[in-house]
Amino acid sequence: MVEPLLSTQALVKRFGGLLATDNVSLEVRPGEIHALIGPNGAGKTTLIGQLTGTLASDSGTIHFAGRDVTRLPTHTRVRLGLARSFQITSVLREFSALDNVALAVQAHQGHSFRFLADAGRDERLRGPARERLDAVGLGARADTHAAALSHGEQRQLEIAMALAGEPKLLLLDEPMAGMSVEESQRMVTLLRGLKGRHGMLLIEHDMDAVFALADRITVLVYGRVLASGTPDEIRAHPEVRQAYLGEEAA
Amino acid sequence: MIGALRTPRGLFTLALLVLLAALPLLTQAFDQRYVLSVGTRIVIWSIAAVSLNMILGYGGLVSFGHAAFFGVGGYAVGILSANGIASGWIQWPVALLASATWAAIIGALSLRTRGLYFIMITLAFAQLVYYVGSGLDAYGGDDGLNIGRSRFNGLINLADKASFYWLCLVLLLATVWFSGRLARSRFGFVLRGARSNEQRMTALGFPVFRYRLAAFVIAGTFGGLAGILLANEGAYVSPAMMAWMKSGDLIVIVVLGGTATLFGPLYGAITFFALEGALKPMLDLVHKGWGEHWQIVFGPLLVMVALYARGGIDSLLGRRHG
Repeated sequence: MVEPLLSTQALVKRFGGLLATDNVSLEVRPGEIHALIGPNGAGKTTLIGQLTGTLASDSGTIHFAGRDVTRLPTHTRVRLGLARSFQITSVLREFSALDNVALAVQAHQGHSFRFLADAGRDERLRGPARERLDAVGLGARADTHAAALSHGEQRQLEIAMALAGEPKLLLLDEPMAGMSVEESQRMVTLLRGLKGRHGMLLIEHDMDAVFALADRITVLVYGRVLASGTPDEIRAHPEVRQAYLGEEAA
Repeated sequence: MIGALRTPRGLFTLALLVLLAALPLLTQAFDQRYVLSVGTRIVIWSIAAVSLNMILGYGGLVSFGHAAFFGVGGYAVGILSANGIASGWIQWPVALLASATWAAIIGALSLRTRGLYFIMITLAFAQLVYYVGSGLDAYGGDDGLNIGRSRFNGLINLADKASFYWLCLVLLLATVWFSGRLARSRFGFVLRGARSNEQRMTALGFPVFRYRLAAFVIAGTFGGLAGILLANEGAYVSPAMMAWMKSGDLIVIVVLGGTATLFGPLYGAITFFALEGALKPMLDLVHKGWGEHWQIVFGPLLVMVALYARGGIDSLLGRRHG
């Protein structure tokens, strides 16, 4: 039995009277893609917020890479090997694509209280950043402002930034949202290539992508885990078919 | 560096610096000693504006209390001087330390807020210092305090107008140099990144608050340096040097010159004081007493800059390199 990379036990988050995360327990093993699916408002993004530490959990625990991280701040969790992409693209728009990734690299090279040396010419930052851009297929766009990249390219850039610190776990919040068929196809190929090296918790509405990529799937409805299992088990699960998959599974 | 001189921007900046360096000689040649004291004040205000630009420009944090550092730096010198400690070697480090400490305290509290709340809380803290200054009856209260200039036994005589001006100019150039290095350093990238997208920077693993606090302390320390110089310029400190309008003027200077640019705050300070100096007598000529209200003309000019020159005066000089 492999030690899970990430595990939550009975995680709870309340917003006033709303139970956004209701006793959620799940596991992601090293190198696997674990997909989190569920209708809108099921609490998927809330759960990601709790895992990264931008939202405090009301009860339950989160273990990551063998440590209890439930009360640790975001930047400490990132240091331990957690990286995320956002549902709505979040890049540094005024910076070049290369600068964006270089900053992500910098985040993993100790503190940044260095005041005089020119970071824009620092090969310890620029070199690895260029490699990451090449890896996601953006090498030719290195000097383009992030704001000028197409939507699909910005999503690729986010992945490059997430990969900069060699994270153990990627939290991907709808990486294919708003993408053309061709762009999603490219993203599926990219993510498949990363499988094995990085564990991934993938939130996605594109069921073709989910079933093509996921090793295991957890279905979240109203903040609760409705079902969890292999893609075949989920496809066959009667409640899941009724609650969520609908015709798509038929 | 040499290549930059071939651009209009480079030539303009070089010409300006040569003019600034030669100012004491020019004012002596034309017997205009008053102009030198105006020039000294512009250079000192430029130091404060460059320091404000570090947090307002590169950090995107609109601090409405930067004149408080004039007061903290100035009063530290003034109070020591009034108690018989005249040595600059003691006064200046104490004043810088006091400014840094004050910046750390108000930064730690106000950087927990955002946007308008940040503006209001920095203003509130600056007003606090202002009223403390007013209440220091032992040190002149509202009337302020005449002080002796800092002594640097034999090294430099601050009472000599030209020497003092050149000292201020060297300190300004050092501040500009540091500000430019800071902006392009790892630290500066984090600071500018957080201005662009704080959520993203946090997700990347940067404890944004700590970097902003450090920037606040650095900016406050240089602001305190300007306060030290201002106190020595007039051999006088008073609460008026940290009135909230002064904080407003500093913001206007930075925005007018061009936020997040290297020399913008300097252009802004020169333009601001040149316009004040020109508009006041012109309006007084139209009608005695109108000169006091020169900002009635200055205000619309500022609106024009906001509308037509978004990057301030700096953007009028053409595209920047790097």
